[in-house]
Amino acid sequence: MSYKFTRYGDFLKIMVEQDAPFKDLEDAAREIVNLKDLKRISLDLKNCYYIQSKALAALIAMKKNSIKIGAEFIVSNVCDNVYQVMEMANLTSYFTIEEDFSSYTSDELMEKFFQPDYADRVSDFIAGSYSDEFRAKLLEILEMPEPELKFYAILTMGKAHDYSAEERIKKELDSDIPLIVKASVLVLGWFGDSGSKEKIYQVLETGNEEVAEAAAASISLLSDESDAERLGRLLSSHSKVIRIAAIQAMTLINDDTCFGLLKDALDKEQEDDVKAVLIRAVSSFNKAGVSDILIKGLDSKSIKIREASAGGLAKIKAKDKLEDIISRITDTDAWVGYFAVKACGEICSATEAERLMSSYDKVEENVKLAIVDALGKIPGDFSDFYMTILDNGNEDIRKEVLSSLLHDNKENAKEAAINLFANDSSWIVRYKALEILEQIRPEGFRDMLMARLTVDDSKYVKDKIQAVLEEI
Amino acid sequence: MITAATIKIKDDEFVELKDIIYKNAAISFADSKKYLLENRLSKRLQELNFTSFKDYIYYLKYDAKKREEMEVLLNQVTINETYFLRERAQMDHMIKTIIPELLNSGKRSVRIWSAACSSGEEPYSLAILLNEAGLFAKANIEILATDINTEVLNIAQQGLYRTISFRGVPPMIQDKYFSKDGFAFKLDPNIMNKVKFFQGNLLNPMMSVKVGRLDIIFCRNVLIYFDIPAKQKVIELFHKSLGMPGTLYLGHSETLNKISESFRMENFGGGIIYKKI
Amino acid sequence: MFDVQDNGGKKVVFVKGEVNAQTGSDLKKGILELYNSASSVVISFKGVVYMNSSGLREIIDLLKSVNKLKKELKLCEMSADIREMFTFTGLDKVFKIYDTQAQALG
Repeated sequence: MSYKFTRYGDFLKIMVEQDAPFKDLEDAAREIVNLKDLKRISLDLKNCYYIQSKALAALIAMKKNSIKIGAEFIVSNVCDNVYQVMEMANLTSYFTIEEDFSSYTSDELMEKFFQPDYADRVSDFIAGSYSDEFRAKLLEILEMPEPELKFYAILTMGKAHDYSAEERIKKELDSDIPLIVKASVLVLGWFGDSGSKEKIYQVLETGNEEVAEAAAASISLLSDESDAERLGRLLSSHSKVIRIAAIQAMTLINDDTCFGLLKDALDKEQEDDVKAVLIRAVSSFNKAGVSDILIKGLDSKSIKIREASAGGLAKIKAKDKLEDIISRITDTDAWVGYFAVKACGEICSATEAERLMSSYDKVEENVKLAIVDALGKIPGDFSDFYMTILDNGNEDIRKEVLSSLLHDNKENAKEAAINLFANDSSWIVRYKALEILEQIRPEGFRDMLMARLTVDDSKYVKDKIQAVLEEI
Repeated sequence: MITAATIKIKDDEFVELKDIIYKNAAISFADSKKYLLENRLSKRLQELNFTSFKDYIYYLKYDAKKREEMEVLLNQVTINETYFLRERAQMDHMIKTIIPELLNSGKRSVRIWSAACSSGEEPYSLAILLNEAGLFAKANIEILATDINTEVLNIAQQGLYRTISFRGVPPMIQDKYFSKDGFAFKLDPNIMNKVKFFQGNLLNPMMSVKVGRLDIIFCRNVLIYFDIPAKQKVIELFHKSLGMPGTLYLGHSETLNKISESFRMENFGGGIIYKKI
Repeated sequence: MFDVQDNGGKKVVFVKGEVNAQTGSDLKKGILELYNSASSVVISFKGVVYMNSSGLREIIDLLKSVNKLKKELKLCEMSADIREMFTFTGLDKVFKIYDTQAQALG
């Protein structure tokens, strides 16, 4: 037999061997019906690098039989090849596909550290189920010459709060390899190892991009009263990387001294992109004068600085500068306008909404979109305005109108969504309409879905319809 | 990657972005790869002061510089985060085992192909290690490097790299082969001369003529972007291009299982190689 | 500085105002006491208007103690700014962080 059932309480795991014949899978599907008291059944394909299309029918049978006995059915550890086969058969939304790292041996798991797209999640898993076995393996990796593996091994020990590894991790601060230094710096910051602070400053001062941010983060976590001044001196470093790292550390420390020093640096800094970083930094201080700095930034000649300032105003929700912000909606740089409108969405009341609507005809498309979006966030019902632009030639405008209608007037939203779901020429609009109908669940929803399923020509909309049908 | 705050992508945003990427580069992202877009693009979004993927999609659609941004986007999603000496065990295996075997069998010229060389880190790493092992003196070694993307090939041919490309490199090697050039590092021209770059699509039938007969192929972390028929085509090309004995190195997560029967898998301890049958 | 809500054995702590060195330390002590009668605590950051790295350090300290007790700590409802502090320091990988209170409790 090429499959094995293992039961853990009300959870059943079905492990399948490589090259399992589909007949065996059919047998497994039949067996499911006879099982009792199961809540979850997981078919684990970790050993299958390929799947015959015939076997897919068996998978479908497994799901059907699982539902019959009242259990949820999951397919886990699907590799890319198998996923592609399922995708060709349009089954990826039919099955719930998950990862289940508990099926892997510790060696197989460590191996996954080589794959950047898996590594983080594997590391989380190991840290969450940390054991002596994992610990021994990770220590073993630290003696190997593989930077990627070591990087994740150190982070994993950090996540698992394995303080017994602290001294070992400290040694890696001296590593030649930036990736490894980065991991050690971060973890020692988490561990609160003040003894390493001096060393971490040295790391920061090398100006290596790969490690500078991590050093900034950990210095802030290890900081005391003396660090603001020390970091402040780095703001005039010749290296842009060091200046930016210092700004980041000071943003995190976020005290009066740091604020003063960063403000001064704004006047002295020569490079626009570092200035934009400073603007963003200042906007995360909860201090008087921040909104003035940002408003001033709006007049800069540099687009980067103007956009960072407008973004900052949106972030701090500068109510005291509402008038200045509204006046920027029609800025010649459409992205400044965009951010200004975004800020309005956070801080305006229905009274000012009028001014957003009257600016609508004067601004670029992206600002128009932001206006519709912002109106949806401002309390009040602006349906009348939306209705005038619902037949706009731009698909994104129609889409935004649908979303905002949902916030302001459910009844109108329902009508518009039903109409656009059936008739709009853009799949993007039909997709949004479907999302809205999914929430409202109007009468006859299922029939609507069935009707569209046959005629809609967008794969994305069809997939979504199938997923919704599955759910209801 | 750790330290950049991840911005979550909503379902509708994911579908639209995936469609944009597909239309511009014929690369398809499965739903299971959502996190990949989040991980790779969050930093870019923050640089642009954006807080959601919707903002970014509008930027791609409505900004005057949208063509340029499309390139930034495609670079982020298609280029494997690569650096010098990445997954070095395979390279060391080539140096210590495969090439000595070829030389012992009497071969005096060896041809190596880096089949999706991106910005050049892989073929240059091979050249550096070959040089370190003194192998250029023992044989006539040719390194070919191709990529579909002309942008990355330009970078490769300039030989200028930023610190991020050196994340896996001992300083000894970095100091020996690179000289500081402003914020970047310039590769030794003697190493650059060892690699021949040209543009090429792995699915183009003319490719085998372009590359000729080879001994060793590196093609790492590229197959994941292709569907099964395309994978089969690429592997067929590799098989056709390799002489006997021929060696193929794939990425760590990639396998030929059920894609091709014309290679034999071998585990050399530090990883996997595929030998032509 | 914080309200507590009992949610079927799990306690939800709503932190208000600033989380700095001083308030963070008080918060830590206060929350640790809750573990006398609960095995899991969820901290909601919804009402937090300000936090800096000293405050963050106190939260790490709290997690350290909670782990020693072999109990559970979850965080939720962070503003973008606070969330960024966690991600920038890599601590988003160390803590269990959820968008909503319901997800944290679920």
